[in-house]
Amino acid sequence: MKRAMKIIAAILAIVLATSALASCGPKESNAGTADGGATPARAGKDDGDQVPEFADDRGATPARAGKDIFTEQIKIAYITLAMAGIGNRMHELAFAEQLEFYPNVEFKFFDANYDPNNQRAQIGECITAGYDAIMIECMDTNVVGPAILEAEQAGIPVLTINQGADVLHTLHIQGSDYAAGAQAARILAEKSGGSGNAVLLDVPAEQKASGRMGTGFAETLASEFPDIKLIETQPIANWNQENANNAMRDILIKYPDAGDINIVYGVSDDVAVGAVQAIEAAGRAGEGILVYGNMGYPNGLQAVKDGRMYGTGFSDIYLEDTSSLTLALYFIATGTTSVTAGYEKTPTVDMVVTPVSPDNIELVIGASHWLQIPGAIS
Amino acid sequence: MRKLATVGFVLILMLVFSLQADNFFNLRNFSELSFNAAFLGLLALGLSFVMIGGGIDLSAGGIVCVVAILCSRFSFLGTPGIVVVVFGVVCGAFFGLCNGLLVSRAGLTEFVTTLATGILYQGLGLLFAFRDTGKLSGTLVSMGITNKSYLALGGRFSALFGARGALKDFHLMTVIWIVLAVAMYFVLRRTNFGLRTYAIGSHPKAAEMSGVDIRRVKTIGFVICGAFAGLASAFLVANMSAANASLGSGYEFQAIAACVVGGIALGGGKGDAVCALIGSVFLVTILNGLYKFNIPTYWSYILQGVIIIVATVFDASFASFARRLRERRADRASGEEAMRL
Repeated sequence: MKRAMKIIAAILAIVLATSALASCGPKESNAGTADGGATPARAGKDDGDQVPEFADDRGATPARAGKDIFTEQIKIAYITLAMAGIGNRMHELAFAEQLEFYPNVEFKFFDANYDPNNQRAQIGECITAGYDAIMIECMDTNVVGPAILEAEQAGIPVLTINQGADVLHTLHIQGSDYAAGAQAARILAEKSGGSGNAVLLDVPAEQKASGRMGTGFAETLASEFPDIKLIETQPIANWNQENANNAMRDILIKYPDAGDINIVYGVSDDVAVGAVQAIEAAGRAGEGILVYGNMGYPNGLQAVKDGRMYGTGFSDIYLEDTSSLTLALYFIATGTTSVTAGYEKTPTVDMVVTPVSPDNIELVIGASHWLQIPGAIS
Repeated sequence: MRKLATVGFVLILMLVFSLQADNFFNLRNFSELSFNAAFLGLLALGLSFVMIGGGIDLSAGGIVCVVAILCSRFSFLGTPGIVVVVFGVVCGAFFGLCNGLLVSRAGLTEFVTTLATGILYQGLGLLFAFRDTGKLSGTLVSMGITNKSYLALGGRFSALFGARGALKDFHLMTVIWIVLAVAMYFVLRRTNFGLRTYAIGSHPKAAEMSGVDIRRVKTIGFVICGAFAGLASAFLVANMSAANASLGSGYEFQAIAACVVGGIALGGGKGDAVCALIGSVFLVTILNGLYKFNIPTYWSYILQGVIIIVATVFDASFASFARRLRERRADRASGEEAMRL
């Protein structure tokens, strides 16, 4: 036993000594800083209305030659949070329809299974396999930063979708985030007459940094509607309907009387529908609790259509996907990355979140493309 | 023999992927592959001590999570990178010790205990995660690590020592993993502690009657398992430059899979550190190779599950075959003995 301990101690000492030597004088670092080793850059305009600017001879690295996006073989990766969930069926539809015009484009989904380490490895794989563009929904704003920087420096434009990254990259497109939560707060406050008690069924705790719709909802209520009291905030693991249902059941038990709860905001439609189910199961559907969702998934739109849920914020996934892909192709065609364009800050574009209520539900469903997915909505 | 079979499979896989895929046989890919294998391999290496001793540890993922957050926080104090890694190892060993004490002293079953502590450690990860107000009531935020000496440890050799040639693209963690795997092989095969681990894994009653302190050996096994999970976590965070409280979920099962595929018996008493190494390389190679063929990710999950089942069936068949072979040899030997008499 002692011999084993001695050997283990000796080995650990060697390992630590090696590490110590290594950490003494790094010649360079892969730190996730914003400059990421990029060459001197030009500033773009701040807001989402900016058009990407290109490098010139005053500082930025000369752009690499782009590819002919109609004839050359092109590979594009989409790294999801997870492939489960109805939203991914819409991704598949949107990309498939658009890529009918680009038979030379090889498009691949990577399933990160809610693991940032998987995302890191998958970005590495995309670099190795010579992908021409990476689209990614980041699990965390920092964790995949070094991998994104490496991709950008390898000449691969990285587009972050909805959940962004703090490091400099080619483009961030965001849909339902802080603004969607703020919008929901204003709509619900107006409908409830500016007073009452609210419940927030929030993003999973570990994604709070990147999913900010709950924060937008809570902060807007606090700052603009002081007479509405946020009585419960509950993170819902994996954005899951069943977990939301269970959480809402507990909340309903805690607040047993009619009028105890006036507003419920679920950060996704799965979450909101879970809350609706719990309210119905508790026999409290007649209390007039206003439930509002987010994303405009088929179950949420259906619940609004059926009069079970007051409304939801509709983010047009189809439009977001096709816009992202169009921009990715543009970046490939022009050889643009944050490095070649010399950005100082990642250009960010916000997608519109359309408030959905019983008044416009038919219109939204008709325009949503969900009808193209069999069984998604009736 | 079992190890050779797995190595053979790995080589065949690599050959097939190299011939069929354009981007498999290159330094950059092997660097990525080896880093991913190193992370899984370190977890599997630690777990091998518990599994060979006839146990199971389902808390490795939870330890990765909480140690990642703790290392991230510790690095913000400006602590030298090496100290952060040591801190990660010590924290991991501490959590392993908690597991060991609960199992060996409180007499709880390993499966339930480590399942529970794994969830508990994941919760601690969330508890210690960064918040905007610094208070528990604050909103979780993500903080990028800026401690350069720590970040350097997660980088490639070229960034550390200015290495050239084949080594420059590989990560420090990869080298440490291989060194530790070889070292742990000798710890298991050549030391009293290792032999006692095999003894309690093969036949705990017999081991106890021979004077082996089962509780002590098991506790040390859990401590080693925790320390390795801590080491893997510390290096992973250095590579990713931030920690996230969702890290670690499901890693324990991947590590168990790597051990089983490599040839470590779930029932204990068989396998060694090299088995854990080979198993990790095998699983990561398959995943890496499948990516090259544009195969949907769900197929990789399906294939991993199938491989684990096949490996388990192979092990059972192989053990049965080996037993029959031994019996036949024994029969033949006794027959020859009888003839001679």
